[in-house]
Amino acid sequence: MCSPLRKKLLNITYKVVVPAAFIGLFFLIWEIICLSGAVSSLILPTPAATFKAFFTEGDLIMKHTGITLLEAVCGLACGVAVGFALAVLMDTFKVCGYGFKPLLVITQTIPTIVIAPLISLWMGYDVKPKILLVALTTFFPIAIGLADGYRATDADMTDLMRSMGANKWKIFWFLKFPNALPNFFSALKISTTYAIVGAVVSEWVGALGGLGFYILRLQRMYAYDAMFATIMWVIILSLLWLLILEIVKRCVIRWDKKEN
Amino acid sequence: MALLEVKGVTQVYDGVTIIEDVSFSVEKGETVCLIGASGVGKTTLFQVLSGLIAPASGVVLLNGENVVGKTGKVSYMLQKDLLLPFKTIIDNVSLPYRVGGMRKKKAREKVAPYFEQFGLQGTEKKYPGQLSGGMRQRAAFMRTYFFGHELMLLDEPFSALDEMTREDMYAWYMRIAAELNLSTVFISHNLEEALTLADRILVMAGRPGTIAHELKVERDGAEGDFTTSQSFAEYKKALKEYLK
Repeated sequence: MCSPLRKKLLNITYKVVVPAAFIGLFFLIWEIICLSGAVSSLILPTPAATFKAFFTEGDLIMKHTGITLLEAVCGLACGVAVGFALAVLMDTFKVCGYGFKPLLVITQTIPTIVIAPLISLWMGYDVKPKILLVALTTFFPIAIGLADGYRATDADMTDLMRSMGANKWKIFWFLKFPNALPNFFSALKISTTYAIVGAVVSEWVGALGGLGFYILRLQRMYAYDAMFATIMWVIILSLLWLLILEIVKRCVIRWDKKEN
Repeated sequence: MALLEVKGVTQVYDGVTIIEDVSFSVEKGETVCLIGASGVGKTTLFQVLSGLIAPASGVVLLNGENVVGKTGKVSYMLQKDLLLPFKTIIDNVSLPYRVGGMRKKKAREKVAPYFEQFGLQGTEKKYPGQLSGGMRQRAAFMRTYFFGHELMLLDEPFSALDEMTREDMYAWYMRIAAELNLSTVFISHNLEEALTLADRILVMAGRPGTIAHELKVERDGAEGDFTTSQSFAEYKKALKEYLK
């Protein structure tokens, strides 16, 4: 029989200590490989050099982070708004449900790297085309996730709302939307990671600033330690976004945690 | 004038007649039970009475007003408790007021004093998943009460409960129905439940379903506990005959 304290300690061990140990081990192996001379430090800098570069290049990384974050946040906001509107249309009008779905799938089969130069050509090299590209990559999971959530609403619950005299709008507001919130947050998790990646990729093909632009510049300068540091920072940024999202989700979806 | 008058209601689905020429009435303060085999059309009849579906023919008069196809005229509790899992009990219970356009704070204030009467004190801020089956059923019943209409339709309200909880709920329901002078039509598959709670039992039978028999339950003559009386046994026997 496990005591509660022992159970809690085991839980922390599995969820925090073990993953941290594996990440530490990964960096250790990387460091050993570099120090052994198996791979040239010019091609693959050591984790220590990468860590050091993060501090020496910190100001520039932060400056470019601001631009990338602006593109990612604005793009994600637009993507969520468009995804939300599409999901409502698909749920409300049967013809939209059947009509939009193939179009949505087609938009997702076009690789970002292919469409990014076109969008830059049409809209220039400032942040606007990047926002558009991020919106294009993030709206799909939101639209599909929400539409599935709306569709999964219990028909008996809809009847119950109707028997109260609720119109379509009230059924949506009091029943369908809250019912789709878990789907929405799952979709948002996917879109959030797409947002950072989409912003960085769109900066590669032509930009005046941003982490993608900076990574490309560092690559051309053969400053691989700073480049790796920036890539690591992109990963940390994505993880931080996911963490913030998880906290928001736990604040919004409180009923799941309180089930018997 | 009867509170509810159902006249010649017939409903057809995909060319199949589900219920045919159903007629009955319910007086104010009366509890009527609908019993019958599965598939006889009891829930279909409730959907017609609640306005969720319009019948192929016939009329439903509530206080003399034709309410065919009109929702929001009767208080309807469906088969499952259907509490919204993402809302607290007080928000579930006050939902009819919210749907009616009332602000959340005001709606909560309106329902809060009734929690004790419905045996739900202390559950206001809990979520449905935290309550037992009996408590959930009471919460669903309380929400149905706050629809605020004169007639309540309850579709197998106690079927999901265990035997012990069900016995408690019968006593609780009879007390609350008397206190609030409720007019109720409920569906049941349980003969003892029907005889314990109803003033009148309508037996649905046949394909398509129709009201085949009617039984008025007189409790006044029974000595002591009605459920253990001779007349209760005789009523039960009669119902069994009707259902054959």
